[in-house]
Parts: sequence; C-alpha cells; structure tokens
Amino acid sequence: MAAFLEYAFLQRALVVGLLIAVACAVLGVFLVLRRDAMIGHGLSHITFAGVALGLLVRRLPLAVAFVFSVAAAWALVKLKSKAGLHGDTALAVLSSGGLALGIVLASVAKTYDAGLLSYLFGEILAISKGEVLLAAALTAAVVGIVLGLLNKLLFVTFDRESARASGLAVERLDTVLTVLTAVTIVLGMRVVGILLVSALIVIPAAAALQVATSFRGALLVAAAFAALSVVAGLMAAYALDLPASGAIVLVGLVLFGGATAFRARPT
Amino acid sequence: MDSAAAEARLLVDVEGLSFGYGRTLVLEDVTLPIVEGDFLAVLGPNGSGKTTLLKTILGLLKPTSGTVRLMGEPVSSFRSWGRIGYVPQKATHFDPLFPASSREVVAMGLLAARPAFHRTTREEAENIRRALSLVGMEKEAERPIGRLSGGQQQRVFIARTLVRKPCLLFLDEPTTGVDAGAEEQFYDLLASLNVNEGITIVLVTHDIGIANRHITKVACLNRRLVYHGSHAEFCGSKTLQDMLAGGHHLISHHH
Repeated sequence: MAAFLEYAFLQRALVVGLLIAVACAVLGVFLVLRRDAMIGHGLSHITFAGVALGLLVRRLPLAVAFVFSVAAAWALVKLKSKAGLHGDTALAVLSSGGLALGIVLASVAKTYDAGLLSYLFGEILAISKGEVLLAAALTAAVVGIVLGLLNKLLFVTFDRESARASGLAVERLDTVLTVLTAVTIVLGMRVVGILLVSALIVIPAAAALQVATSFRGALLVAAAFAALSVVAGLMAAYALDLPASGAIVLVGLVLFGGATAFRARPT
Repeated sequence: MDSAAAEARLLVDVEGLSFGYGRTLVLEDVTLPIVEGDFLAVLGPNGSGKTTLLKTILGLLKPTSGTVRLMGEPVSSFRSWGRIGYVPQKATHFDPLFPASSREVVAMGLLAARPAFHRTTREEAENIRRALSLVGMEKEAERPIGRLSGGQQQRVFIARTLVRKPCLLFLDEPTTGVDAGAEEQFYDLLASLNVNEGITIVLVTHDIGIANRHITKVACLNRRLVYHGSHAEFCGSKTLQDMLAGGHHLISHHH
C-alpha cells in the first residue's frame, strides 16, 4: 500500500482506473439490462482500427480512436433503426469490419510492436498527467449525463413501448447511451486494453444485478464492485508483478462469482 | 352550443382508419368515437387488428389512410401524452431480475415531462404513494417488480399511468398472466377507476368472460369494425351470435 503513496505513476493509475471503471460500470448496468452487453466488445474492435490508423499517420492514436468509436456507435444505432438489422448482427458486422481494417492498417504501418500491443492489452501504469485530466473530464461528463437522464434512461430500458407512448424520444436516448459507451471505451482501452475493455462494462454490472433490489442500488453496487476491482487488481499487479489489466478483470470475476453465489444461497 | 359540448367530450375520434403492412390490410376503414366516461372493450379474435388499432391511436404506428384525433388534436401534433395512460400487452414480459422497486416503476410515469436533473418533489412523492394506494399496492412499494405476481405487476403498471392523472387509459390484454381469482378483482379495480376517478377506459381483449359485468360499450373488430354500441345491445346482437358460431373464443377462454 505504501508504494501507492510513494510513486506518482501508481497514483495516476489508481485515479484513472477508478474514474474509468466507475463510468464503465454505470453504463454497464443499462447495457446489460438492455441485452446490449456485447456492445463494448464490438465498439472496442472498431477503436482498434482507429488506433492503427493513428499509428500509421503518426497522429494521436487516442483521438483517432475516439472518432472511429463514436462514428461506429452512431452507425450502429442507424443500422438497427433504419436497416432493420438485429443488434447482434449490426454489431458483428461493424466489429469484424473494424478488426479487419485495423489488421490491414497496422500491417501497412508496420506497427506490430509494443506501441500497438499497449493498446491491445492496456497500459495503466504508463498513464500521463494529461490523460488523468482527460479521464477526469470525460468521466465527469459521462456520469453527469447518465445521472441527469437517469429516470428517462431507466424508463426506456425497462419498457420501451410505454416510454415511447408517454412521449419520450426513445431513439435519441439510444444514441446518447451508445455514444457515451463509445467515449468510455476509448478511455477504458488505456486501462485494460481493447481486448478486455468490455469486461469493465459488463462484469461489475452483471455482478451488481445479481444482488440489487432497486435500480439506484444496482448503480451504486456496480460502481463499488468496479472500484474494488481496480484497487485490488492494481495492488495485486504491483505486489505479484502481474499485468494490471488481467489482474483487474480477474478480481472483477471473483466479485461476480461471489455475487452469484450470494444470490443462489438457500434462503 | 350543445354540439360544442358534445364535441368536447369526444376524447378519441378515429375516422376511416386503415393500416397495412405492404398490401395486406390489418385494419380497414375503421371509424370509432371514444367518449368521456366510456368503459369500452375492443373485442376480436387474435390477429383481428386490436393491438394495431391501439398503437395507431397512440401514434406509435402511422395509418395508411384515415385520421386519428386525440382530444380534438391530430395525433401527429398531439403533445399532452400525460393525459393518456397506456399499458402495453407485453408490459409484464420484462426481465424478472430487473432491479426496480414498485415505487421506481411508478416514478417512471412522472418522468417524460420532467427536465434533466429533476429531483422528486414532495408533491410527486405523494402522487406516487396515492397512485400505488389507488391500485392497492401501497404495501408493496419497496418490493422488486419481478417478485410480484402477474396481477400485482399489472396494478403497478396502471399506477405508473395514474401518477400523471390521465383522463384516458388504454390496456392491451391486461389479464394475460393474471390468475383467475385475481382477474375479477382486477376488473373491479378498473371499474372503480372508471366510476370514482372518472377515467375513460379502453380495454383490448379476446376474452370478455369477466369484464362484461363492468363494461359499458363494445367494439368488435375483425379487420373492419363489425359492431360498435352499448354493451347491453351487444349481448342480444347478431354479432355476438355470429362470433360464437364462428368459433371465436370471445366469452370464455382457457389458456
């Protein structure tokens, strides 16, 4: 624990990890309940193409990833509403497209190296001061928007048809939620990497939903599980010299197992 | 003057309404006025267009031809959705693990009109409590919705519409998943909302076994409107005889 007070890079990792994990968990509760759990997985594959393009043109891979991710989120909503594709089909089309484009771009750029790998597997211990500020600002924006629209998002998630009949702009709320997810994924990519970012969205939320009896309760428990995963995961990673991303996600899985066992206990 | 007063009481005015998917018409030339105070049952066999009619009235589907006016306003420009409550057919088909208490579900009804970052006021909290008590669910306010029986869930969904003090309530097959014992109490509740709270009720069902003690008007739908009139006349009408002879399970239906 003392190391966390001593080393600035560990403090930065902790702060950014906590911020992003909480944002992911809050969004995750909505996404899991909407059966959109795989959306994080799909969008993260598209950010891979963005990162590869950024590396190719040697310009801010994170910024290019943002553009790709948000554009894909928008395309996803349109593919579902206008082209009538099922959500999972639209996601499969976009995510495999993103991955294919990323592979080609990375090959052209000859960047199959540590740079690309750090995006695939996360690099929470190498986070810069600027990224801390960026993460804080974007997390505040994501959590603020979700809390501001909490009741409307809840109504749409619970009963789409009644929400529409009572005058809510259902499609606009879908777009808001999907774009927020896209933004959060790019941030999460720095913490646990493209390959594991959807775990930050799905696992704390799924664990919280095992034990929560009210919606506000579910949001709080998911945020708490996410924070606990980051703290315990980082400490384990530092103490045992493990990759931080894997350790964070594995702690989350242990919490999920505990919550599931708690739910299944004989009453 | 009399005609103006009569017009003011016309809550829903459906005229010459047709709706189709491609070239197949699901509804054809339906004209149906719904007047304040009605307890109207829209009857018809499965696939007769009942739900489609409801969704068209609510502006969720756009008619192929014909018009719908709500409280005198064309449905496309109607904005007072708070005056109209709707409990869809699939209301009870939510994820049983959905973590929302009955109170949270009822609170959803308040939201559409509220700005972002709105905190529930004392008056709204009182409205929620009153809506739950009107449907007899006050004691279940903190229980997760998924742990209630089908009949209790329907009551909570009705309470969700009541918090906005509607004058008109649409229910689509509300007794699906409600056991027979609770069904009668459920219709008693609707009748009391109709009589005591002055709420006009439109009930879509393929089963009038128990509802017929309370309903005042009947509309029979089979793509076209085959009957519209008072419930008393309907019971002696040829339409009912025809429907029975046609094997439509309108009177008693065993699932």
